[in-house]
Amino acid sequence: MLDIAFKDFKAKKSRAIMCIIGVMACVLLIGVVNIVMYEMQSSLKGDLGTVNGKMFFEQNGTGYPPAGSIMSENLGDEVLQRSEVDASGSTKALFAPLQGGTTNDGGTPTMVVGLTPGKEQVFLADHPVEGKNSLVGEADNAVIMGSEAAKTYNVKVGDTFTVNDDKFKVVGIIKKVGKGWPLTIDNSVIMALPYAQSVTNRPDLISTVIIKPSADYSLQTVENNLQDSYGKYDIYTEKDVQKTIDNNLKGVMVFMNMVIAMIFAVSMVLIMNVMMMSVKEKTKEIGTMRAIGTKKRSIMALIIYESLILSLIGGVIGILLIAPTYNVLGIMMGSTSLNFSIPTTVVIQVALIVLVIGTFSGLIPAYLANRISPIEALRYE
Amino acid sequence: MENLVKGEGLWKTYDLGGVEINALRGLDITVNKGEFVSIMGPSGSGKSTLMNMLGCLDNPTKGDLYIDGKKISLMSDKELTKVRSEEVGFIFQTFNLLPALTVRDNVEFPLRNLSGEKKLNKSSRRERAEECLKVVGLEHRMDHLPAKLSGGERQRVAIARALVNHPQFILADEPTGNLDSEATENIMNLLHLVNQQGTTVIMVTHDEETTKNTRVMKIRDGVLVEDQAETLKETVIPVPYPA
Ligand SMILES: Nc1ncnc2c1ncn2[C@@H]1O[C@H](COP(=O)(O)OP(=O)(O)OP(=O)(O)O)[C@@H](O)[C@H]1O
Ligand SMILES: [Mg+2]
Repeated sequence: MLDIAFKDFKAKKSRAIMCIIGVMACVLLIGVVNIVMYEMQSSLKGDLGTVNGKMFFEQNGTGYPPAGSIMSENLGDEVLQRSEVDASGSTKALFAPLQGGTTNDGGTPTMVVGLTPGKEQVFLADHPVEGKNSLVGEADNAVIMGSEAAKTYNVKVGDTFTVNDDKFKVVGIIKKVGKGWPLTIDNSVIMALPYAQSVTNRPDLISTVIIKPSADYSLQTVENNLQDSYGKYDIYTEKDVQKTIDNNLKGVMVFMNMVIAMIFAVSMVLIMNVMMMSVKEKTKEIGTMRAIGTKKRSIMALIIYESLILSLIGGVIGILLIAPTYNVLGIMMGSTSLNFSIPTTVVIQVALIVLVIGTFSGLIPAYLANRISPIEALRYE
Repeated sequence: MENLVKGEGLWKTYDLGGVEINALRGLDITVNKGEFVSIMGPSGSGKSTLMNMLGCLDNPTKGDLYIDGKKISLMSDKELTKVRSEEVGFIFQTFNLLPALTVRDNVEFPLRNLSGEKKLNKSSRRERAEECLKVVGLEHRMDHLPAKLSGGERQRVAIARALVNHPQFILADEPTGNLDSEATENIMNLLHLVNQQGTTVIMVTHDEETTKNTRVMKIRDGVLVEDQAETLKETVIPVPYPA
């Protein structure tokens, strides 16, 4: 029946094309929304990549960046001296928004990251830096800036800038880490811990200890031991990453998924409508087919094939147009880099949606076609 | 002679919201293999209703109907569909070709409905369709769409389609109702040719002319009121082979 479905489709070209365009637009929208969600997720994951293989010793519940956590520097020193902790790969750190600073375009505040000089790589994780990648031997107010933060304050390596009477000397700028959305690291100003404490008015305080387990211990053991010793504190590990993503994106995801569901419904109704019209128009033909011995099952297949053809053609064109559309949108929103590869997961998701639309929107029309009595249809003029 | 169709006390009652319409009222009918039967009668007398029943499109409300010895009055829709696809060839007044398909694909179409042992592959289906189109003299129009054909030509395609599954019998409800006299003659010649080659033909007609050399039955108010069978048996008329 597939070949017959194709012939029927060709016989009603203009209607088919209208329907295909509609489906295409729907698929395109679903695809773009999906990519946006995907990018949001993956940039958050990228941000949380800092956590990989490490753990963050925090207070007041876990989170990343741990700007909400506060503890005494002494406690930090105590933790660093434990045998489970590889002191050379671990550091005390202070995370706090730079008060009185300008926010970037996206409204994200610049994040002060205070680290023990020499331990910058614990946070930087070997991301390439223009200029110096260490604060050792630099002035007290030397800073290494994230690319976004550098843009926000419009500074280059060697510049000095002032926020709230505090002066900062830029010795290095980290190359952009996040692909789409800027990450915490892109928005950070890394400086020596004492200067960070003075700038943010948190004398003798830190937010977290970034811990690398020493070679003899597994991540899990270290977590358990620390938790046993410091019941009031929390240990943030890779396992908590997904939770953070979910918490951050819950609202957006619900909204986006609602949008997808609505577009999905629209395209279903669209094809269903076309197929109902087609079944109605073809009452006499369907009756004739039934009279000359076509099985009900084949009639159903014919209708479902037709709706699948409509949705697949529309779907494939739509999928092909997702990347260009996404780029055009990106350029309109100020992005400078083009990215024509759509994540496979998004393609698979959209393809599945197309299949479901095609099959299900054919079901009701197919059921109607099934109920056509050949006798009635043959009387029908 | 062997019975192909045997109907006993056939009733068909339509219930139109409380009002009952009896389209057939205890009609008896027998048709033998190889016969050419013409059914006549006034409009509304139940001819199409009877044809639908013989064509396994409909079950009688009451009474028994046997086709080729099989009792069809109790069959399910699925079984009826199978009988239709294997044993019956339909010809309609309004031709009822499938407009999106070429003449060849239209003729081939009933063969797609065959299943099980009778199933044919694509090339033998094509071959059979082309053979049948040769019989009706339209082999040169095989690749055309029905819309490009005249009424008479369309009906010839319909005859080819009705023949393609080698049915036991052909049911034609006013096959010449929409045709001029020349096309009518052509179609009647073809139907007689088909009948000569062994296929039983049952035809409904309003045109006295078309009943020549056939067994005429007359229906009125849902019952058979006249049947030429007896007369035909007595005077065996040699049926001329049509040109
Ligand atoms: N589906 C139906 N519902 C209700 N009544 C019906 C239905 N089909 C047929 N009838 C009635 O049954 C009677 C017989 O109809 P039928 O179509 O068999 O007549 P006919 O002899 O073929 O007439 P014609 O020569 O006009 O084609 C008519 O009174 C018709 O109105
Ligand atoms: Mg009729």
